[in-house]
Amino acid sequence: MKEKESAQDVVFMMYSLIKETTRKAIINKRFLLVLLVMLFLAGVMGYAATQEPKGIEEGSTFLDILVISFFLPLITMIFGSSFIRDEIDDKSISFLLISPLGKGKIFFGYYISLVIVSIIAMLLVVSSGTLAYFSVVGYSSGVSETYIYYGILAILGSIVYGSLFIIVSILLERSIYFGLFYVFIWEGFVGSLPGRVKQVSIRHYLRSIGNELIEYGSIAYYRDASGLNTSIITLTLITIVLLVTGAIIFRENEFP
Amino acid sequence: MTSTVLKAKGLSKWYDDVIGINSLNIEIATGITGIVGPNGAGKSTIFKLATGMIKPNKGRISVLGEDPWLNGPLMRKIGFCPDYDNLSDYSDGKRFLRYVGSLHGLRDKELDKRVSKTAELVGAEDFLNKDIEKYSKGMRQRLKLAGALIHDPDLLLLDEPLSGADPEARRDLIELIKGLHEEKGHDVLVSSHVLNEIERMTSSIALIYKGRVIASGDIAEIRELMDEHPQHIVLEGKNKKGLVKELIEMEQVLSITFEEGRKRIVIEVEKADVFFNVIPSLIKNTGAEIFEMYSMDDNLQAVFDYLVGGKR
Repeated sequence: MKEKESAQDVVFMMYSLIKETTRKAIINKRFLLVLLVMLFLAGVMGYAATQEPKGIEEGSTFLDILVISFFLPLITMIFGSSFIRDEIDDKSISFLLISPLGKGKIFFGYYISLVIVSIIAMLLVVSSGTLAYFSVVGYSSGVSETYIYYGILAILGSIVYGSLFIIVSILLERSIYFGLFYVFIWEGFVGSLPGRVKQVSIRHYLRSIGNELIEYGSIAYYRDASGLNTSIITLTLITIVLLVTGAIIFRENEFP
Repeated sequence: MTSTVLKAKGLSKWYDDVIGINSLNIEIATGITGIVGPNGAGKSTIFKLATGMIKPNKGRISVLGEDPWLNGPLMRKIGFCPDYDNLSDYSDGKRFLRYVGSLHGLRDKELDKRVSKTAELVGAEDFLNKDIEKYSKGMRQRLKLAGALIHDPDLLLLDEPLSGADPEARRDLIELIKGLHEEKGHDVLVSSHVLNEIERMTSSIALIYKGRVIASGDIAEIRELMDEHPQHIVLEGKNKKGLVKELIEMEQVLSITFEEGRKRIVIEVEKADVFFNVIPSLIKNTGAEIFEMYSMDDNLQAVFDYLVGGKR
């Protein structure tokens, strides 16, 4: 007769898994990349702030192009594609597999850790760009709201992209190649095609939400934007479908 | 409580074209049982099947009366020390043990108590606060063992726990594993490719070869089979002339071969136990200086070759 874990035990075990996995990801050398991106963004946006034209419109456009369209999928991909894969490869995942947690919960634990790490990374990136730009240009009304909304988009993006890249990391041994293809070809190329084709990219729905929230820059003038509700529902469905599929695949996975 | 800790019936597992386990039938009782077999025999596959890390292609396996595949609650009763190094370097020993303990639901004072108790049990107290990346192989083995013991499981699955440990650490680990059953009451399933090591822990063994159990039971019976089978004993040293004369006279000696310019002699003997009883006094009486003596056949491959000789 199987003895079920109490809900309190499960929460505690999940908390332990999430805490340790998040800690490992943050002290990993890979996190240095986030610092490099912060420096790069601060440098580019700081320099742009010294050139004409400059202002909140241009600052928002920089955040749209550099953060939402490029660094958000890239950074989530870099963490996501290695999150479970590293532990499968170095076999440290075995301690989790022989715990009473069960594979489905282990998968969700990893996902939550990935989202936390990506959110921390993306909030640092958004903050560095915003600070570098507006500390030179000067703060005006709307800057704080714009910063907060880009932060919200970064959080939403981490949640959705995280569910995609974590599934890739359990399916493919060299998931980084798929990740690069997805970020540069799918999101970067398909996501910028005219018409309805771009609707098959996550970036489109993120920018659509941004279009509703943000009043300045290119994102505010995104002509092909889907509605706010459509975008939220689509991204929620994408995330749920990917997570459930990922949990089923992980559950049936063998770890020889 | 069940008297069978692990049972497999018609169990097969293959990885693409490679067979790991082939229609394996085994029933392992409580106590300490040694799984012995050469590298690639399928020992680790049994452990992975028993912990639900992989699932069988055919047949069934039950551990403590339950199917281990997708059975999280069963893992509370099992402690597993794998043959590979699965320690993450991003931690120190204490943090690692606390983490593994918390994955089994231990917390607060209970967790602290188990961490110090387990560290003491495996002799890891002195290096527990050191970063794992600075650990020697022996330290890593001890910590892995502590990880398997932290939640005080009923059954311990130890896959090659002595591998990589130095002779002193091996001796300590053997005593520890014996004590885990005798003093702490854990049932232990331990594997090794070195028969002598298992012999020092238990008399109950199962010999695995090419994914099948070829013999199981009391180690004395296996030893008897070995004794009936001629063995090749190597002697290396000086002033062996008198000794060789005596050896030729011995009933148990079938042949003597000189190697490496007479520095090394290989003696083919039957009833090796009689030979080993007599040889120390022969060496002493003939004044031979022997630096090294070992049996070329005192390894598993020889036993397996003998046991399966007619079947291959």
